[in-house]
Amino acid sequence: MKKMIISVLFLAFVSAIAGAAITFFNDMTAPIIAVNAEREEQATLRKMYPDGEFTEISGYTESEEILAVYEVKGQGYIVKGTATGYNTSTPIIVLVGFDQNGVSTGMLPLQQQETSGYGSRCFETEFSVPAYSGKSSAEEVDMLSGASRTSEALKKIMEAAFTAVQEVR
Amino acid sequence: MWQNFKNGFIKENPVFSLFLGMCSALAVSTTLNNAIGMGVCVTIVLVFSNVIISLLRKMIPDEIRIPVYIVVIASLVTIVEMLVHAYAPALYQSLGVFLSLVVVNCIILGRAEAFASKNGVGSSAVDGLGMGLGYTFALVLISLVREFLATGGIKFANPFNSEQILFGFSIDALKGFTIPLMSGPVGAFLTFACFAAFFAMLKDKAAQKEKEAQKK
Amino acid sequence: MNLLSLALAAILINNVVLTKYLGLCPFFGVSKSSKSAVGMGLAVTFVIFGASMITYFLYYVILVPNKMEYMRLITFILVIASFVQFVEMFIKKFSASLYKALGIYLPLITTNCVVLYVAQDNITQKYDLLTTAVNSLAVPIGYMLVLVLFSCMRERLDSSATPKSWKGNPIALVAAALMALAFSGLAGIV
Repeated sequence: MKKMIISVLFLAFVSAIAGAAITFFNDMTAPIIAVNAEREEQATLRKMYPDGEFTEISGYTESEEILAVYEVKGQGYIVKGTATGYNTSTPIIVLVGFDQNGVSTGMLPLQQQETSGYGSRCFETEFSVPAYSGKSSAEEVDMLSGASRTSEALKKIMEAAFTAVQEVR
Repeated sequence: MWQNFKNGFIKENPVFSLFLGMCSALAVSTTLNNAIGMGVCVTIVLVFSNVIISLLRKMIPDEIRIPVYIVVIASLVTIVEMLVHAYAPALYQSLGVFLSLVVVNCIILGRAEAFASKNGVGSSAVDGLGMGLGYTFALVLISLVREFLATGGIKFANPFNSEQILFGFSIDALKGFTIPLMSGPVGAFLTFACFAAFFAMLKDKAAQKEKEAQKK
Repeated sequence: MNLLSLALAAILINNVVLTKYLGLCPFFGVSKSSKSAVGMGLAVTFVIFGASMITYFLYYVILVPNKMEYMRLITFILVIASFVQFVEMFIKKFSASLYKALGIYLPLITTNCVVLYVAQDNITQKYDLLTTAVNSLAVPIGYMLVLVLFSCMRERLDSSATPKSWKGNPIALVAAALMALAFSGLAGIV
Protein backbone atom coordinates (compact mmCIF):
# COMPACT_ATOMS: atom_id res chain seq x y z
CA MET A 1 0.00 0.00 0.00
CA LYS A 2 2.75 2.37 1.01
CA LYS A 3 4.63 1.49 -2.15
CA MET A 4 1.61 2.32 -4.27
CA ILE A 5 1.19 5.73 -2.64
CA ILE A 6 4.85 6.49 -3.28
CA SER A 7 4.45 5.44 -6.90
CA VAL A 8 1.41 7.63 -7.42
CA LEU A 9 3.05 10.58 -5.70
CA PHE A 10 6.17 10.14 -7.81
CA LEU A 11 4.18 10.06 -11.03
CA ALA A 12 2.22 13.13 -9.96
CA PHE A 13 5.46 14.91 -9.11
CA VAL A 14 7.02 14.12 -12.49
CA SER A 15 3.83 15.19 -14.28
CA ALA A 16 3.76 18.46 -12.35
CA ILE A 17 7.33 19.28 -13.35
CA ALA A 18 6.58 18.32 -16.95
CA GLY A 19 3.46 20.50 -16.94
CA ALA A 20 5.40 23.44 -15.56
CA ALA A 21 8.10 23.06 -18.22
CA ILE A 22 5.53 22.86 -21.03
CA THR A 23 3.70 25.93 -19.71
CA PHE A 24 6.96 27.85 -19.55
CA PHE A 25 7.86 27.03 -23.15
CA ASN A 26 4.29 27.71 -24.30
CA ASP A 27 4.39 31.19 -22.80
CA MET A 28 7.73 31.75 -24.47
CA THR A 29 6.76 30.58 -27.96
CA ALA A 30 3.05 31.46 -28.21
CA PRO A 31 3.59 35.18 -29.03
CA ILE A 32 6.22 34.33 -31.67
CA ILE A 33 3.91 31.79 -33.28
CA ALA A 34 1.06 34.33 -33.37
CA VAL A 35 3.30 36.97 -35.00
CA ASN A 36 4.54 34.42 -37.55
CA ALA A 37 1.01 33.35 -38.46
CA GLU A 38 -0.06 36.97 -38.94
CA ARG A 39 2.95 37.73 -41.16
CA GLU A 40 2.44 34.54 -43.15
CA GLU A 41 -1.19 35.44 -43.84
CA GLN A 42 -0.30 38.95 -45.00
CA ALA A 43 2.40 37.54 -47.27
CA THR A 44 0.03 35.12 -49.01
CA LEU A 45 -2.60 37.83 -49.48
CA ARG A 46 0.05 40.11 -50.94
CA LYS A 47 0.65 37.59 -53.71
CA MET A 48 -2.70 38.72 -55.13
CA TYR A 49 -2.63 42.44 -54.34
CA PRO A 50 1.06 43.30 -53.85
CA ASP A 51 0.42 46.73 -52.28
CA GLY A 52 -2.91 46.02 -50.61
CA GLU A 53 -4.11 46.71 -47.11
CA PHE A 54 -6.14 43.75 -45.88
CA THR A 55 -8.88 43.48 -43.28
CA GLU A 56 -10.81 40.31 -42.59
CA ILE A 57 -14.53 41.00 -42.87
CA SER A 58 -17.75 39.18 -41.99
CA GLY A 59 -21.34 39.67 -43.09
CA TYR A 60 -21.60 36.82 -45.60
CA THR A 61 -23.59 33.62 -45.16
CA GLU A 62 -21.18 31.09 -43.72
CA SER A 63 -20.65 27.95 -45.77
CA GLU A 64 -18.35 24.94 -45.85
CA GLU A 65 -16.41 26.34 -48.78
CA ILE A 66 -15.52 29.76 -47.41
CA LEU A 67 -12.64 29.98 -44.92
CA ALA A 68 -12.30 33.78 -44.85
CA VAL A 69 -13.13 36.93 -46.80
CA TYR A 70 -10.76 39.89 -46.84
CA GLU A 71 -11.38 43.40 -48.03
CA VAL A 72 -8.50 44.97 -49.93
CA LYS A 73 -8.75 48.67 -49.19
CA GLY A 74 -9.84 50.55 -52.31
CA GLN A 75 -9.03 47.64 -54.63
CA GLY A 76 -11.42 44.71 -54.09
CA TYR A 77 -11.82 41.49 -52.16
CA ILE A 78 -10.02 38.19 -51.60
CA VAL A 79 -11.90 35.01 -50.70
CA LYS A 80 -10.09 32.05 -49.18
CA GLY A 81 -12.01 28.95 -50.17
CA THR A 82 -11.73 25.19 -49.83
CA ALA A 83 -13.29 22.04 -51.30
CA THR A 84 -12.35 18.40 -51.79
CA GLY A 85 -11.32 17.31 -55.28
CA TYR A 86 -9.94 13.96 -56.35
CA ASN A 87 -7.59 13.65 -53.41
CA THR A 88 -9.79 13.10 -50.36
CA SER A 89 -6.99 13.39 -47.82
CA THR A 90 -5.77 16.86 -48.86
CA PRO A 91 -8.53 19.36 -49.65
CA ILE A 92 -7.89 22.10 -52.18
CA ILE A 93 -7.38 25.55 -50.67
CA VAL A 94 -7.30 28.57 -52.98
CA LEU A 95 -7.46 32.35 -52.89
CA VAL A 96 -9.88 33.99 -55.31
CA GLY A 97 -9.40 37.67 -56.04
CA PHE A 98 -12.21 40.09 -56.96
CA ASP A 99 -12.22 43.72 -57.96
CA GLN A 100 -14.63 46.26 -56.47
CA ASN A 101 -17.35 45.41 -59.01
CA GLY A 102 -17.31 41.74 -58.03
CA VAL A 103 -15.50 40.59 -61.17
CA SER A 104 -12.97 37.86 -60.48
CA THR A 105 -9.32 38.78 -61.01
CA GLY A 106 -7.67 35.40 -60.54
CA MET A 107 -7.23 32.19 -58.58
CA LEU A 108 -4.16 31.23 -56.59
CA PRO A 109 -3.69 27.72 -55.13
CA LEU A 110 -2.41 27.60 -51.55
CA GLN A 111 -2.69 23.86 -51.09
CA GLN A 112 -3.47 21.15 -53.61
CA GLN A 113 -2.33 17.56 -54.10
CA GLU A 114 -4.47 16.73 -57.12
CA THR A 115 -3.25 14.08 -59.54
CA SER A 116 -0.15 15.35 -61.26
CA GLY A 117 -0.76 15.81 -64.98
CA TYR A 118 -4.58 15.62 -64.69
CA GLY A 119 -6.25 17.59 -61.92
CA SER A 120 -3.11 19.58 -61.29
CA ARG A 121 -3.47 21.18 -64.75
CA CYS A 122 -6.36 23.24 -63.37
CA PHE A 123 -3.80 25.21 -61.38
CA GLU A 124 -1.36 25.87 -64.21
CA THR A 125 -1.50 29.47 -65.33
CA GLU A 126 -2.19 28.55 -68.98
CA PHE A 127 -5.54 27.21 -67.90
CA SER A 128 -6.27 29.05 -64.68
CA VAL A 129 -5.81 32.62 -65.91
CA PRO A 130 -8.42 32.50 -68.71
CA ALA A 131 -10.69 30.12 -66.77
CA TYR A 132 -10.98 32.00 -63.51
CA SER A 133 -10.25 35.69 -64.10
CA GLY A 134 -12.50 38.34 -65.63
CA LYS A 135 -15.69 36.43 -64.81
CA SER A 136 -18.70 38.10 -63.26
CA SER A 137 -20.56 34.95 -62.20
CA ALA A 138 -19.78 31.33 -61.42
CA GLU A 139 -21.58 30.12 -64.58
CA GLU A 140 -18.89 31.68 -66.75
CA VAL A 141 -16.11 29.65 -65.06
CA ASP A 142 -14.62 27.06 -67.40
CA MET A 143 -14.21 23.36 -66.68
CA LEU A 144 -11.16 21.37 -67.74
CA SER A 145 -11.92 18.14 -69.56
CA GLY A 146 -10.24 15.09 -68.06
CA ALA A 147 -10.17 16.72 -64.64
CA SER A 148 -13.84 16.88 -63.79
CA ARG A 149 -13.44 16.10 -60.08
CA THR A 150 -10.97 18.94 -59.56
CA SER A 151 -12.96 21.31 -61.77
CA GLU A 152 -16.17 20.55 -59.87
CA ALA A 153 -14.43 21.36 -56.59
CA LEU A 154 -13.09 24.62 -57.97
CA LYS A 155 -16.48 25.52 -59.38
CA LYS A 156 -18.03 24.93 -55.98
CA ILE A 157 -15.51 27.29 -54.43
CA MET A 158 -16.14 29.89 -57.14
CA GLU A 159 -19.91 29.71 -56.64
CA ALA A 160 -19.56 30.25 -52.91
CA ALA A 161 -17.00 32.99 -53.44
CA PHE A 162 -19.22 34.92 -55.90
CA THR A 163 -22.15 34.69 -53.47
CA ALA A 164 -20.02 35.85 -50.55
CA VAL A 165 -18.62 38.82 -52.46
CA GLN A 166 -22.13 39.81 -53.65
CA GLU A 167 -23.21 39.83 -50.02
CA VAL A 168 -20.39 41.93 -48.62
CA ARG A 169 -20.14 44.46 -51.43
CA MET B 1 31.80 4.46 -25.61
CA TRP B 2 32.91 5.02 -29.19
CA GLN B 3 31.63 1.54 -29.94
CA ASN B 4 28.17 2.50 -28.62
CA PHE B 5 28.19 5.49 -30.88
CA LYS B 6 29.32 3.60 -33.97
CA ASN B 7 26.87 0.75 -33.44
CA GLY B 8 23.98 3.10 -34.06
CA PHE B 9 25.00 3.61 -37.67
CA ILE B 10 25.34 0.24 -39.33
CA LYS B 11 25.22 -2.83 -37.15
CA GLU B 12 22.39 -1.62 -34.96
CA ASN B 13 21.02 1.06 -37.21
CA PRO B 14 17.64 1.62 -35.57
CA VAL B 15 15.76 1.89 -38.83
CA PHE B 16 17.38 -0.52 -41.27
CA SER B 17 18.49 -3.30 -38.93
CA LEU B 18 16.16 -3.08 -35.96
CA PHE B 19 13.10 -1.83 -37.90
CA LEU B 20 12.25 0.74 -35.25
CA GLY B 21 10.66 4.09 -35.97
CA MET B 22 9.67 2.95 -39.43
CA CYS B 23 6.45 4.96 -39.59
CA SER B 24 8.06 8.35 -39.41
CA ALA B 25 11.07 7.19 -41.43
CA LEU B 26 8.82 6.45 -44.38
CA ALA B 27 6.45 9.37 -43.95
CA VAL B 28 8.88 12.26 -43.74
CA SER B 29 11.59 11.00 -46.09
CA THR B 30 9.96 12.57 -49.16
CA THR B 31 12.50 15.40 -49.27
CA LEU B 32 15.97 15.96 -47.86
CA ASN B 33 14.70 18.98 -45.94
CA ASN B 34 12.08 17.00 -44.05
CA ALA B 35 14.50 14.15 -43.41
CA ILE B 36 17.13 16.35 -41.80
CA GLY B 37 14.57 18.36 -39.85
CA MET B 38 12.90 15.28 -38.47
CA GLY B 39 16.24 13.59 -37.76
CA VAL B 40 17.46 16.55 -35.74
CA CYS B 41 14.21 16.76 -33.74
CA VAL B 42 14.33 13.05 -32.91
CA THR B 43 18.01 13.24 -31.96
CA ILE B 44 17.37 16.13 -29.57
CA VAL B 45 14.45 14.36 -27.92
CA LEU B 46 16.41 11.12 -27.72
CA VAL B 47 19.47 12.67 -26.08
CA PHE B 48 17.45 14.63 -23.53
CA SER B 49 15.12 11.75 -22.69
CA ASN B 50 18.07 9.40 -22.25
CA VAL B 51 19.83 11.89 -19.96
CA ILE B 52 16.75 12.62 -17.84
CA ILE B 53 15.78 8.98 -17.50
CA SER B 54 19.32 7.98 -16.66
CA LEU B 55 19.38 10.65 -13.94
CA LEU B 56 16.08 9.42 -12.52
CA ARG B 57 16.80 5.71 -12.95
CA LYS B 58 17.47 5.02 -9.26
CA MET B 59 14.43 6.95 -8.06
CA ILE B 60 11.72 5.64 -10.36
CA PRO B 61 9.64 2.88 -8.76
CA ASP B 62 9.76 -0.13 -11.04
CA GLU B 63 5.99 -0.56 -11.59
CA ILE B 64 5.40 2.92 -12.95
CA ARG B 65 8.57 3.33 -14.97
CA ILE B 66 6.78 3.17 -18.35
CA PRO B 67 4.27 5.93 -17.51
CA VAL B 68 7.12 8.08 -16.19
CA TYR B 69 9.11 7.55 -19.39
CA ILE B 70 6.05 8.46 -21.42
CA VAL B 71 5.49 11.67 -19.47
CA VAL B 72 9.13 12.67 -19.89
CA ILE B 73 9.14 11.91 -23.62
CA ALA B 74 5.77 13.55 -24.28
CA SER B 75 6.78 16.78 -22.60
CA LEU B 76 10.11 16.88 -24.45
CA VAL B 77 8.30 16.36 -27.74
CA THR B 78 5.75 19.06 -26.94
CA ILE B 79 8.55 21.49 -26.15
CA VAL B 80 10.47 20.65 -29.33
CA GLU B 81 7.26 20.97 -31.32
CA MET B 82 6.60 24.44 -29.90
CA LEU B 83 10.14 25.59 -30.61
CA VAL B 84 9.98 24.32 -34.20
CA HIS B 85 6.59 25.98 -34.67
CA ALA B 86 8.01 29.28 -33.45
CA TYR B 87 11.42 29.33 -35.10
CA ALA B 88 11.08 27.11 -38.19
CA PRO B 89 7.43 27.47 -39.28
CA ALA B 90 8.03 26.06 -42.77
CA LEU B 91 9.46 22.85 -41.31
CA TYR B 92 6.55 22.66 -38.89
CA GLN B 93 4.13 22.89 -41.81
CA SER B 94 5.78 20.14 -43.83
CA LEU B 95 6.33 17.70 -40.94
CA GLY B 96 2.76 18.24 -39.78
CA VAL B 97 1.31 15.58 -37.52
CA PHE B 98 4.44 13.44 -37.68
CA LEU B 99 6.28 15.83 -35.40
CA SER B 100 3.92 15.11 -32.51
CA LEU B 101 3.96 11.42 -33.38
CA VAL B 102 7.63 11.36 -32.34
CA VAL B 103 6.16 10.54 -28.90
CA VAL B 104 5.26 7.07 -30.08
CA ASN B 105 8.47 6.53 -32.02
CA CYS B 106 9.60 3.16 -30.70
CA ILE B 107 13.29 4.16 -30.79
CA ILE B 108 12.89 6.65 -27.98
CA LEU B 109 10.92 4.49 -25.57
CA GLY B 110 13.04 1.51 -26.59
CA ARG B 111 16.33 3.22 -25.75
CA ALA B 112 14.93 4.55 -22.47
CA GLU B 113 13.92 1.05 -21.42
CA ALA B 114 16.88 -0.88 -22.85
CA PHE B 115 19.76 1.49 -22.23
CA ALA B 116 19.15 4.65 -20.20
CA SER B 117 17.44 2.85 -17.33
CA LYS B 118 20.57 0.73 -16.78
CA ASN B 119 23.49 3.02 -17.60
CA GLY B 120 25.11 6.23 -16.41
CA VAL B 121 24.34 9.71 -17.67
CA GLY B 122 27.38 10.07 -19.92
CA SER B 123 27.03 6.84 -21.84
CA SER B 124 23.25 7.32 -22.10
CA ALA B 125 23.77 10.68 -23.74
CA VAL B 126 26.26 9.17 -26.18
CA ASP B 127 23.91 6.29 -26.90
CA GLY B 128 21.09 8.75 -27.59
CA LEU B 129 23.27 10.77 -29.91
CA GLY B 130 24.48 7.69 -31.78
CA MET B 131 21.01 6.25 -32.21
CA GLY B 132 19.60 9.66 -33.19
CA LEU B 133 22.29 10.19 -35.80
CA GLY B 134 21.81 6.64 -37.06
CA TYR B 135 18.12 7.43 -37.50
CA THR B 136 18.93 10.71 -39.27
CA PHE B 137 21.43 8.88 -41.49
CA ALA B 138 18.76 6.37 -42.52
CA LEU B 139 16.21 9.11 -43.22
CA VAL B 140 18.69 11.08 -45.31
CA LEU B 141 19.62 8.01 -47.37
CA ILE B 142 15.98 7.23 -48.17
CA SER B 143 15.11 10.85 -48.86
CA LEU B 144 18.05 11.33 -51.26
CA VAL B 145 16.84 8.45 -53.42
CA ARG B 146 13.20 9.44 -53.28
CA GLU B 147 13.62 13.15 -53.87
CA PHE B 148 16.05 12.58 -56.74
CA LEU B 149 13.84 10.08 -58.53
CA ALA B 150 10.64 12.02 -57.91
CA THR B 151 11.83 15.50 -58.89
CA GLY B 152 15.10 15.00 -60.77
CA GLY B 153 17.12 17.02 -58.28
CA ILE B 154 17.99 17.62 -54.63
CA LYS B 155 17.30 20.79 -52.68
CA PHE B 156 18.16 21.78 -49.15
CA ALA B 157 16.79 25.03 -47.77
CA ASN B 158 17.65 26.79 -44.54
CA PRO B 159 15.06 25.49 -42.04
CA PHE B 160 14.84 28.89 -40.31
CA ASN B 161 14.25 30.76 -43.54
CA SER B 162 12.65 28.68 -46.26
CA GLU B 163 13.47 31.20 -49.02
CA GLN B 164 17.21 30.71 -48.61
CA ILE B 165 18.46 27.62 -50.39
CA LEU B 166 21.71 26.33 -48.88
CA PHE B 167 22.55 23.89 -51.63
CA GLY B 168 20.81 22.02 -54.36
CA PHE B 169 21.00 20.89 -57.92
CA SER B 170 18.60 19.65 -60.54
CA ILE B 171 19.35 17.85 -63.76
CA ASP B 172 17.31 19.33 -66.59
CA ALA B 173 17.83 16.33 -68.85
CA LEU B 174 15.86 14.24 -66.35
CA LYS B 175 12.86 16.58 -66.24
CA GLY B 176 10.75 14.42 -68.53
CA PHE B 177 11.67 11.20 -66.76
CA THR B 178 10.77 11.89 -63.16
CA ILE B 179 8.78 9.29 -61.21
CA PRO B 180 6.21 11.11 -59.06
CA LEU B 181 5.26 7.73 -57.59
CA MET B 182 8.52 7.75 -55.64
CA SER B 183 7.32 10.55 -53.38
CA GLY B 184 4.23 8.49 -52.55
CA PRO B 185 3.81 5.38 -50.43
CA VAL B 186 4.93 2.99 -53.17
CA GLY B 187 8.28 4.71 -53.49
CA ALA B 188 8.66 4.80 -49.73
CA PHE B 189 8.14 1.07 -49.27
CA LEU B 190 10.28 0.11 -52.25
CA THR B 191 13.23 2.32 -51.35
CA PHE B 192 13.08 1.14 -47.78
CA ALA B 193 12.99 -2.49 -48.89
CA CYS B 194 16.12 -2.06 -51.02
CA PHE B 195 18.04 -0.41 -48.19
CA ALA B 196 16.90 -2.99 -45.65
CA ALA B 197 18.08 -5.80 -47.93
CA PHE B 198 21.39 -4.03 -48.50
CA PHE B 199 21.97 -3.61 -44.77
CA ALA B 200 21.04 -7.24 -44.14
CA MET B 201 23.68 -8.21 -46.70
CA LEU B 202 26.31 -6.03 -44.98
CA LYS B 203 25.45 -7.62 -41.65
CA ASP B 204 25.72 -11.12 -43.12
CA LYS B 205 29.11 -10.37 -44.61
CA ALA B 206 30.42 -8.97 -41.33
CA ALA B 207 29.17 -12.03 -39.46
CA GLN B 208 30.83 -14.34 -41.96
CA LYS B 209 34.13 -12.53 -41.67
CA GLU B 210 34.01 -12.84 -37.91
CA LYS B 211 33.37 -16.57 -38.20
CA GLU B 212 36.34 -17.04 -40.49
CA ALA B 213 38.56 -15.03 -38.20
CA GLN B 214 37.53 -17.26 -35.31
CA LYS B 215 38.36 -20.39 -37.29
CA LYS B 216 41.88 -19.21 -37.87
CA MET C 1 -18.55 15.06 -46.99
CA ASN C 2 -21.19 12.81 -45.55
CA LEU C 3 -20.42 10.13 -43.00
CA LEU C 4 -20.56 7.18 -45.37
CA SER C 5 -18.06 8.63 -47.79
CA LEU C 6 -15.89 9.69 -44.86
CA ALA C 7 -15.87 6.11 -43.61
CA LEU C 8 -15.19 4.65 -47.05
CA ALA C 9 -12.39 7.12 -47.65
CA ALA C 10 -10.80 6.30 -44.29
CA ILE C 11 -10.97 2.56 -44.90
CA LEU C 12 -9.94 2.27 -48.54
CA ILE C 13 -8.47 5.48 -49.92
CA ASN C 14 -6.65 7.14 -47.07
CA ASN C 15 -5.74 3.85 -45.45
CA VAL C 16 -3.53 4.57 -42.43
CA VAL C 17 -0.98 1.90 -43.23
CA LEU C 18 -0.69 2.32 -46.97
CA THR C 19 -0.94 6.07 -47.36
CA LYS C 20 0.05 7.49 -43.98
CA TYR C 21 2.65 4.84 -43.06
CA LEU C 22 1.29 4.52 -39.53
CA GLY C 23 1.29 1.49 -37.28
CA LEU C 24 4.01 -0.26 -39.24
CA CYS C 25 5.79 -1.90 -36.31
CA PRO C 26 2.90 -4.19 -35.38
CA PHE C 27 2.05 -4.40 -39.07
CA PHE C 28 5.24 -6.29 -39.76
CA GLY C 29 5.39 -7.99 -36.38
CA VAL C 30 1.90 -9.46 -36.08
CA SER C 31 1.12 -10.07 -39.71
CA LYS C 32 2.96 -13.38 -39.79
CA SER C 33 -0.22 -15.35 -39.16
CA SER C 34 -3.73 -14.34 -40.08
CA LYS C 35 -5.14 -15.41 -36.73
CA SER C 36 -3.07 -13.01 -34.69
CA ALA C 37 -3.72 -10.34 -37.34
CA VAL C 38 -7.44 -10.57 -36.66
CA GLY C 39 -6.88 -10.47 -32.91
CA MET C 40 -4.55 -7.50 -33.14
CA GLY C 41 -6.96 -5.74 -35.48
CA LEU C 42 -9.85 -6.18 -33.06
CA ALA C 43 -7.76 -5.02 -30.09
CA VAL C 44 -6.62 -1.95 -32.02
CA THR C 45 -10.18 -1.15 -33.11
CA PHE C 46 -11.42 -1.34 -29.56
CA VAL C 47 -8.55 0.72 -28.16
CA ILE C 48 -8.79 3.39 -30.85
CA PHE C 49 -12.53 3.79 -30.49
CA GLY C 50 -12.39 3.94 -26.70
CA ALA C 51 -9.34 6.18 -26.50
CA SER C 52 -10.66 8.60 -29.15
CA MET C 53 -13.93 9.01 -27.33
CA ILE C 54 -12.24 9.61 -23.98
CA THR C 55 -9.72 12.06 -25.42
CA TYR C 56 -12.47 13.87 -27.32
CA PHE C 57 -14.39 14.57 -24.14
CA LEU C 58 -11.25 15.38 -22.15
CA TYR C 59 -10.19 17.90 -24.76
CA TYR C 60 -13.48 19.73 -25.08
CA VAL C 61 -14.63 19.45 -21.46
CA ILE C 62 -11.38 20.03 -19.58
CA LEU C 63 -8.59 21.36 -21.77
CA VAL C 64 -10.43 23.91 -23.92
CA PRO C 65 -12.35 25.72 -21.14
CA ASN C 66 -9.11 26.00 -19.14
CA LYS C 67 -7.12 27.24 -22.14
CA MET C 68 -4.71 24.32 -21.79
CA GLU C 69 -4.78 23.14 -25.40
CA TYR C 70 -1.01 22.96 -25.41
CA MET C 71 -1.14 20.08 -22.92
CA ARG C 72 -2.98 17.98 -25.50
CA LEU C 73 -0.16 15.63 -26.44
CA ILE C 74 0.85 14.68 -22.92
CA THR C 75 -2.79 14.21 -21.82
CA PHE C 76 -3.67 12.08 -24.82
CA ILE C 77 -0.68 9.77 -24.54
CA LEU C 78 -1.32 9.22 -20.83
CA VAL C 79 -4.97 8.39 -21.49
CA ILE C 80 -4.00 5.98 -24.26
CA ALA C 81 -1.35 4.29 -22.10
CA SER C 82 -3.72 3.70 -19.22
CA PHE C 83 -6.53 2.60 -21.51
CA VAL C 84 -4.27 0.00 -23.12
CA GLN C 85 -3.29 -1.26 -19.70
CA PHE C 86 -6.97 -1.69 -18.92
CA VAL C 87 -7.65 -3.61 -22.15
CA GLU C 88 -4.67 -5.84 -21.44
CA MET C 89 -5.99 -6.76 -18.01
CA PHE C 90 -9.41 -7.36 -19.53
CA ILE C 91 -8.17 -9.73 -22.23
CA LYS C 92 -5.91 -11.54 -19.80
CA LYS C 93 -8.90 -12.30 -17.62
CA PHE C 94 -11.38 -13.35 -20.29
CA SER C 95 -9.45 -14.97 -23.09
CA ALA C 96 -6.22 -16.70 -22.20
CA SER C 97 -5.66 -17.95 -25.74
CA LEU C 98 -6.03 -14.49 -27.26
CA TYR C 99 -3.70 -13.12 -24.63
CA LYS C 100 -1.15 -15.75 -25.51
CA ALA C 101 -1.44 -15.03 -29.24
CA LEU C 102 -1.01 -11.29 -28.93
CA GLY C 103 1.66 -11.63 -26.27
CA ILE C 104 4.01 -8.71 -26.32
CA TYR C 105 2.09 -6.75 -28.92
CA LEU C 106 -0.63 -5.58 -26.56
CA PRO C 107 1.61 -3.26 -24.56
CA LEU C 108 2.98 -2.13 -27.90
CA ILE C 109 -0.42 -0.67 -28.84
CA THR C 110 0.62 2.25 -26.63
CA THR C 111 3.36 3.02 -29.10
CA ASN C 112 1.15 2.21 -32.08
CA CYS C 113 1.06 5.56 -33.77
CA VAL C 114 -2.41 4.96 -35.20
CA VAL C 115 -4.04 5.38 -31.80
CA LEU C 116 -2.45 8.74 -31.11
CA TYR C 117 -2.90 9.78 -34.73
CA VAL C 118 -6.66 9.19 -34.72
CA ALA C 119 -7.10 10.95 -31.37
CA GLN C 120 -5.17 13.98 -32.65
CA ASP C 121 -6.75 13.91 -36.10
CA ASN C 122 -10.27 14.13 -34.66
CA ILE C 123 -9.25 17.34 -32.92
CA THR C 124 -7.26 18.98 -35.72
CA GLN C 125 -10.01 18.25 -38.28
CA LYS C 126 -12.51 19.81 -35.86
CA TYR C 127 -14.85 16.83 -36.16
CA ASP C 128 -18.08 16.83 -34.17
CA LEU C 129 -18.98 13.94 -31.86
CA LEU C 130 -20.72 11.76 -34.47
CA THR C 131 -18.01 12.26 -37.07
CA THR C 132 -15.39 11.48 -34.44
CA ALA C 133 -17.14 8.23 -33.64
CA VAL C 134 -17.38 7.21 -37.30
CA ASN C 135 -13.79 8.20 -38.03
CA SER C 136 -12.41 6.35 -35.01
CA LEU C 137 -14.20 3.19 -36.11
CA ALA C 138 -13.41 3.45 -39.82
CA VAL C 139 -9.68 4.08 -39.48
CA PRO C 140 -8.93 0.95 -37.41
CA ILE C 141 -11.24 -1.12 -39.63
CA GLY C 142 -9.09 -0.06 -42.58
CA TYR C 143 -6.06 -0.99 -40.52
CA MET C 144 -7.46 -4.43 -39.74
CA LEU C 145 -8.43 -5.01 -43.37
CA VAL C 146 -4.91 -4.37 -44.59
CA LEU C 147 -3.38 -6.30 -41.68
CA VAL C 148 -5.44 -9.40 -42.47
CA LEU C 149 -4.91 -9.21 -46.24
CA PHE C 150 -1.23 -8.72 -45.68
CA SER C 151 -0.90 -11.61 -43.25
CA CYS C 152 -2.29 -13.96 -45.91
CA MET C 153 0.39 -12.73 -48.29
CA ARG C 154 3.05 -13.12 -45.60
CA GLU C 155 2.14 -16.76 -45.03
CA ARG C 156 2.85 -17.46 -48.70
CA LEU C 157 5.95 -15.30 -48.76
CA ASP C 158 7.58 -17.17 -45.90
CA SER C 159 7.48 -20.46 -47.74
CA SER C 160 8.71 -19.06 -51.05
CA ALA C 161 12.33 -18.97 -52.17
CA THR C 162 13.75 -15.47 -51.68
CA PRO C 163 17.41 -14.38 -51.81
CA LYS C 164 18.97 -14.55 -48.38
CA SER C 165 19.31 -10.85 -47.65
CA TRP C 166 15.74 -10.17 -48.83
CA LYS C 167 14.24 -12.75 -46.46
CA GLY C 168 11.82 -11.49 -43.83
CA ASN C 169 11.11 -7.80 -43.65
CA PRO C 170 12.69 -6.56 -46.91
CA ILE C 171 10.57 -8.78 -49.15
CA ALA C 172 7.52 -8.00 -47.00
CA LEU C 173 8.17 -4.32 -47.66
CA VAL C 174 8.15 -4.97 -51.40
CA ALA C 175 4.82 -6.73 -50.98
CA ALA C 176 3.55 -3.72 -49.03
CA ALA C 177 4.67 -1.45 -51.87
CA LEU C 178 2.68 -3.50 -54.37
CA MET C 179 -0.31 -3.43 -52.07
CA ALA C 180 -0.06 0.36 -51.76
CA LEU C 181 0.04 0.54 -55.55
CA ALA C 182 -3.10 -1.60 -55.79
CA PHE C 183 -4.92 0.49 -53.20
CA SER C 184 -3.98 3.73 -54.94
CA GLY C 185 -6.24 2.55 -57.77
CA LEU C 186 -9.20 3.01 -55.42
CA ALA C 187 -8.66 6.77 -55.15
CA GLY C 188 -11.61 8.67 -56.46
CA ILE C 189 -14.32 6.09 -55.85
CA VAL C 190 -15.92 8.35 -53.27
